[in-house]
Amino acid sequence: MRPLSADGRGLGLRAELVERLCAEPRRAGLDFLELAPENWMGIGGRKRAQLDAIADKYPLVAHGLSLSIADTEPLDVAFVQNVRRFLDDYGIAIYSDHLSLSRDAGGQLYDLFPAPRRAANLDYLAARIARVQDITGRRLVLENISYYHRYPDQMPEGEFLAEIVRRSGCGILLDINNVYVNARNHDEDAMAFVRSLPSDAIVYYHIAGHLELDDGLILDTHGTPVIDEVVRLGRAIRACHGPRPLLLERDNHVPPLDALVAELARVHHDMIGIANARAA
Amino acid sequence: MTAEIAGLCAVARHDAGSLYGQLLRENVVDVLRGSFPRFCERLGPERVTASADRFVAGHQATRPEFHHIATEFVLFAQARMALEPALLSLLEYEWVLLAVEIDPARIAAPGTADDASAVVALNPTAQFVTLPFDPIADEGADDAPAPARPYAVYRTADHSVVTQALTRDACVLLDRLRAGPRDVFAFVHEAQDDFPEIEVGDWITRGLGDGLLCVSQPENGAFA
Repeated sequence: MRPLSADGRGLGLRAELVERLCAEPRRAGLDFLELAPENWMGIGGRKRAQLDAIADKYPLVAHGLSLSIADTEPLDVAFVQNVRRFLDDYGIAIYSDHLSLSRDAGGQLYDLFPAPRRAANLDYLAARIARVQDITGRRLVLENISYYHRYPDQMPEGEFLAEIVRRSGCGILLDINNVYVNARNHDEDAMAFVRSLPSDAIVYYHIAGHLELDDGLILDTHGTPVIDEVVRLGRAIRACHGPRPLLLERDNHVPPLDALVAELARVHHDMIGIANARAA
Repeated sequence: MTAEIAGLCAVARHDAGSLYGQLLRENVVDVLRGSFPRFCERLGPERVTASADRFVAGHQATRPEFHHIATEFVLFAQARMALEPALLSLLEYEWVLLAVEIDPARIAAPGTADDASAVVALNPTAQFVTLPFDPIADEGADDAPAPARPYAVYRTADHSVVTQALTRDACVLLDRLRAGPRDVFAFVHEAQDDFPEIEVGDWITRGLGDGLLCVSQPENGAFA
């Protein structure tokens, strides 16, 4: 397992990038890659060969989509066991997913839904997280999601997440764009959320672009460049919690690898620049 | 917690106009278009959208992986869509292409059966389908009706996915190999008596050449 430096820069491993990453040597300015284990585990053929080639060049981080840690169905133990086998095969130390659910009694729902943030749900979630951590042999890292539905009378998101960390020992993947999106969509204080998180639980950062609809609603689409306001929020988060590996997500309208690496460098530089200036 | 979650999910499943309902359906449509391009082209955008809507609302998907949306959709279509037979065959054929492409089996490098101790086996990724259209001619672009015919779909050692039309004799010979690897010379000797009109040794050589068959030596343990 290859550790990531606190100032490491990473990209999501998208199908559009695979050929290029396989064909060229490891490139400067790209320190790690993040992949969705569900898209790669249990497969063979060209994709497997390509992943093997890429794993020889770059440390990998696993960011799942399907754990559904917050649903009320029995934990899919076989799925988690498969994830563990995949993580072990590729020497992946960090396994993250979302603090969300993607399943109901009617089966899988292929998207990320928010869970009600209530004190009464904390022990249930902590027990589920502990089970996953036991099976994977790793600390589970959970991402704050963009949510477009608010249940009534919830705990503040940061307080809820911090309490889950305290009870389960899980880590946090702090998605900067999601903080921005939620603050804008729900008229919340982004930094109040950020400040309520325990710094030592934050494992790495996500940053991404989003789409603003005509009615003002913002969707976390990962389909556009990161806007300056989100980078500024990233600077503030970095100043608050310190440096962490930074992962640029781009899942739609994926530009060529050169452009993505350039955007990653720009965002990373802008986040570090001001944070360092403040520290000085 | 359970009731609140169920309420939110029910809205997403049954109200296509809700935000989560839209997002869900867009995810499904994206996967369908990527996984089944010819099927979606034949079905048309309106029916694709309507199918995704019915899939989200009514299908009890069990596979958590997003890329298995394709598998879940085929199961849904087989049970619930009442598709025209040719269209369902096209959907199933495109699913087989996907399944073969990512089949975890390892494919041995091409070999020959010259060695007296050679063992011949079916390509472990091979799947067999009967199609009422010709998927090879003109990429099956119009998928014009044709007499139903058997095909093998398999992946070669260089990761190409091949669709190969099969004769009736080939189907029988391949069926014998489905039970497991066979010593080449014993297989030829046995089969030649049943198929005097073809040269079974040549058939094996062609199969090895195009990758439908694989060869290995018994002492390497590959077929132990």
